[in-house]
Amino acid sequence: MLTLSLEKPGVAVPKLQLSLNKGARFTAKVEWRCDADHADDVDVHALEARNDGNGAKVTELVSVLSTYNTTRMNPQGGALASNTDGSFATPSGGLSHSGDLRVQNSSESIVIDGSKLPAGVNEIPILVTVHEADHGGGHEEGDADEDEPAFGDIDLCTITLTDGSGRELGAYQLSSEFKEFNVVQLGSLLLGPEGWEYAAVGRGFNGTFNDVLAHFS
Amino acid sequence: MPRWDVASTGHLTTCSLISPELVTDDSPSNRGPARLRPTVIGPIAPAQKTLRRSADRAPPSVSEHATRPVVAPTAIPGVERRRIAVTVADIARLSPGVAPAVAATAVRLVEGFVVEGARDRTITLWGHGAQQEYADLVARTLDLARADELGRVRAYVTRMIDLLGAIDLPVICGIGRPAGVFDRLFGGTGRIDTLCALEDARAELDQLVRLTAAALDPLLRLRDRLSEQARRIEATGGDIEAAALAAGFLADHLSITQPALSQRFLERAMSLTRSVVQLRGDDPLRAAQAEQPLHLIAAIQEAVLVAMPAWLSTIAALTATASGARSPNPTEAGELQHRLQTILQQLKT
Repeated sequence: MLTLSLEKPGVAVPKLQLSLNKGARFTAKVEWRCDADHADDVDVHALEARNDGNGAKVTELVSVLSTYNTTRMNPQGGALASNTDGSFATPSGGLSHSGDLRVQNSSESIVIDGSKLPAGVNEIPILVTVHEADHGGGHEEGDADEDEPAFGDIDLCTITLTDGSGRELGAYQLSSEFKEFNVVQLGSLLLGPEGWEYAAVGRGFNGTFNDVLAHFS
Repeated sequence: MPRWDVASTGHLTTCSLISPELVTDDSPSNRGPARLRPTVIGPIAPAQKTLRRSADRAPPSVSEHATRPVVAPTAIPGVERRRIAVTVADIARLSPGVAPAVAATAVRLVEGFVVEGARDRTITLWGHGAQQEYADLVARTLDLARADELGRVRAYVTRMIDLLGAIDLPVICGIGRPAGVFDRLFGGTGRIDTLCALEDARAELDQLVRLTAAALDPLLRLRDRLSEQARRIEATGGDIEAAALAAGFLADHLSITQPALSQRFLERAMSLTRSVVQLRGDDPLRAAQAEQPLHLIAAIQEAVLVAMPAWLSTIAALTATASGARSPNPTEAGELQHRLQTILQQLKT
């Protein structure tokens, strides 16, 4: 089973802007806005998975596009090298991440380039997690006394998936639709007979990214 | 920390694509063609997966030929969020003629509402943020409309109008009848009908032109800020309208199953609709506020910075000539008077 250290050193890095205009490219973007006195840490993740009929699986950490899996955030166990601007990608270049940001009112995005994904990869689960977003005040509503952070701790948090033409394929308002959870699967990109397609999942639970890895490895 | 059981079994989701792989699913919706069966671990839920295709159908991938097609996503265990079914057409039925963007926002609001665990407070605050933002924006716009830049330039223009309106060119040129005693006593004290007074006025008008020109940049920035405010007010108006429509839809949708929530939504829909009506009613006023600096800038650019300096230079020549041997003839005086009236008209507009 794959596991990652979920500890992050306190570094915020700038976001890389990517141009998306052609081909089988998809962008998963998570955005959050919050005026309360706390730093929100929302992360978007994707996996280069293989599904042989028994569910999507990853067998190597290099297939896991997650900020927890970078040498910057996880020098001991991270498998993906971070670029100087904080961005990182899987070795194939099929999945690339704009870089982890831990500031309020920001966004992170993942670009999935179907033409670069390795042979055998046929499912890309897209997930979003939140942690350290709990707080003691500043919201009109919210459960400040909850032990675990949840998307409901953030005023507005959304995740959207768009294709190369900018058309929105799926979106969730995490702060309202999944306010009691800290892990959500937006959906998966599937390699069907006619190419890459998106299938919504929309499921949430409370756990960590290692729980996600446990399921997919 | 709650953890899920990886070993638990779950429900098979369905999908519209058919895989060439021969794994048969026994769920009713999947009987018939053979399908690939993904493993889904988690609570049982009816099949609700929607498969959407990219507008840009993928070019043949490097991995495509060697890869088994997948027909359904592998879902993490957890709670599936099932949205209230709503379309843009449903919203348009509530408000025929609604802007597509507003209807789309209303759809998102409805989709984002989770009935389970919904609290009275959530509904009480439905659209409240947009209403509050609208009030703040209007207050800030009023402050901008009273900005110093605007007041100062208005004062310059008013002074120019006073000075120009007081100039009696025919008399100065010696072709008009000087004011009589009655006019001098009761016709106002600011009359400019001598070469000396005209020279003083010209010097002051020169000064006013320079001051007004210097105020043009701040005025342009103010115009940009007002335009931005107007745009944000318009956007906020759209948000309020969307919240009103979504509340109206939810009031109707929940009327049987959740009558108490439905009533709350109905109240919010009415409040938000009142805000929309007020907002739309204020549109002409806001447009006028935004246009004020535009008119002022146009007057400055056309009259103050172009026509006025040309006219003043002619007047300077006139005073020099008139104090010498030759006075302007009636045609020259009439031409100057016409240009003066044109400038005055532009400034007053």
